[in-house]
Amino acid sequence: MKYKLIGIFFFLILFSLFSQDNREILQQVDSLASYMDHDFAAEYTIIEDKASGERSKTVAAVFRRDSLEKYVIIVLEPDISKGQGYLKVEGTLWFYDPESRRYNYTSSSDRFQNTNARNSDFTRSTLSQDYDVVNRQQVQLGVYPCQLLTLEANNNDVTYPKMKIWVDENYLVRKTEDYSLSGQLLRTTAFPSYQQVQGRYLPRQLLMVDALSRERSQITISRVNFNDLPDSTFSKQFLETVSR
Amino acid sequence: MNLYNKLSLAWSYFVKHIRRFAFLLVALGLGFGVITIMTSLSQGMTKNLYSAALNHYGGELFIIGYDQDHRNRMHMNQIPRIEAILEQWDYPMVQLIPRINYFGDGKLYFAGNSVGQKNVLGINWEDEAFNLNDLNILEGSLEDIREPQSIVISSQTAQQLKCRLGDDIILRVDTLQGQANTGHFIVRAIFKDPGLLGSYKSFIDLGEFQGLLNYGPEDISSLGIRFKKPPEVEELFKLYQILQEALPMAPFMETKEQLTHNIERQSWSGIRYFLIPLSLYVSQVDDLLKSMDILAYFLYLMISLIILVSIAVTYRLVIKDRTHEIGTMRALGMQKKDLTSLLLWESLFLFILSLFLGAVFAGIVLFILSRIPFSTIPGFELFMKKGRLIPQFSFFSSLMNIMLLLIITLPAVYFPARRASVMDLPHSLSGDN
Repeated sequence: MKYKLIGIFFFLILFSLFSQDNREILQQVDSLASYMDHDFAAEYTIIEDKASGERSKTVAAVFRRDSLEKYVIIVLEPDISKGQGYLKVEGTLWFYDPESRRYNYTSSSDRFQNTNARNSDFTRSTLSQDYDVVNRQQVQLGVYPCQLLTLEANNNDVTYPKMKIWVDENYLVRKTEDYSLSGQLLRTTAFPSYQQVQGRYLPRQLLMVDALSRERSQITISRVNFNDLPDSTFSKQFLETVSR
Repeated sequence: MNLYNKLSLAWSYFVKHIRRFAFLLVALGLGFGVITIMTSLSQGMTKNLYSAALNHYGGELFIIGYDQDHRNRMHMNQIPRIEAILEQWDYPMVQLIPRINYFGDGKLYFAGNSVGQKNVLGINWEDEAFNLNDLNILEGSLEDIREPQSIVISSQTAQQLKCRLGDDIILRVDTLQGQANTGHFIVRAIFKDPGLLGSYKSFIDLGEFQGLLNYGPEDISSLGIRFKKPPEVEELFKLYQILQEALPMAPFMETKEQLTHNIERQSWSGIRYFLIPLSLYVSQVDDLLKSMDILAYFLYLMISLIILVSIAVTYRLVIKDRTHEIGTMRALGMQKKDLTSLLLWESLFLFILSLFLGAVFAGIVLFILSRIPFSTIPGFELFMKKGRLIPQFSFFSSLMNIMLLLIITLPAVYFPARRASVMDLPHSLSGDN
């Protein structure tokens, strides 16, 4: 009995160390992809290769204020969608259409401009808040030795209830796999290269493959800066003004 | 002269002069046939449209929940309470139809191909037999749909997915809470896409869909109601008032614009319940039908005028040819009144024979039309049943058509007959007109 209790005690200590360790890894990943002390602005270029062989290009300007969970996205290309915008304030994500001059509710889990990217892909990383690590193993991903973490959502608010992420020694995410609630692989994202801007790391390029439709997207992040933005950037007036 | 003698005399004259009446028979018969074809097709198309709408929306009256806590999705969960309210309403109903209508965001995948679905409908197979039996099944059968993981898809979807009967396809949806979820389904039947109301529509089992969407067993999108006789506005308002006492209701709406405004431009928290009659949904198509009716009535009027003129002219010529014969009858002692009535009885035989010939003509044309597939005409499937035009006959419309023809024929016949009867005997006998 005494040995059993000691065994359980050691198991609990090891389990809590394992959990603590995993949470720390996720927190490190989050901290690298979240900019709590500065605003963030960049241009995202999304090249989409459809299963039909068609290729489309979408360019968007992204402005984030992670400390207040606000963001604005303005579509710059293609011409047909130019001026459309997204505004996340006070927990609500609005979509603005300059043609009808109307705002509609949208969701962060919705596709961004009918690409493989989701609206949530443009926000700060909250893996440590939203997911629990259910498994961890050391693996080699190409030239990168990585920790492969298997995650399960601890709330219903995330788009993908299950994920696998490959994190390298510098806590940079190198690959993710997103799964449906039933465990079906939906999307694979690779992060082949990172760029360093004003002392911060962020992906230079992301490659996304929709596992079901086999459509591929390549997202390039450019013109990055971490300078403070005016408060008015995160407002409906700003969207309306720049959309004219 | 008694009636029997008049009738037998009129019949013998009618038979004797049938060659003279040939053109009139054809004109009247064709006229009646064309009018019968128009009205029966128009009624058949209206009935098919209504039936298509009833199948598509799943009832004649709907109680639908819109849940703004979950992206304004059609979602409700008060079935027992609503059922109790409907009992309290005490209006005769045929059937309650619970459904999940996953609108706009469902996507089907097969071997790298994907097709977005406008409506993925979660239905009780048994409850909606009336709906499924109306589908124009091209491949497979509805006997297997009770097997687990069954899906019924349209031919257009199957074509784009490049899938066949028995293939395992993936349906991707978001749960009520917004999480991505997928389910594997076996294609059990492929139906002909009925155009406007059926494009990119698929059916799966209600219980399986509830699981996929993370719904509870009492979570649905809408409760449809079928009636023997749909309620009038006063009855609907009575139901609305009872519902309003128990549930958070949207305003009572009578137009499509009000419905759109209330769903898309108003905000609330949680679920708001909408009471929507089918007529509100089909009001736009209804407008189209009304326009078609106006066109049909115009054609109807034109045909009536042509018949009226043809009969008036032809009958005058027939009477003119028979002036001498009419004079002889007068000379033999027949009264003017009896002569007019004899000519009118003759016309009645002509009228009855025309109706018969017209009905035969309409029957043949409608039979041929019902065998021709019109599905190549875009959007026309909406007015057909299983790809075929189905005429619809009603006692009232048939009676109306006969009465109309009678109203046209009577004056066209009466005045020349009357004129010939009252003509001077010498003139009549000389064949002078």
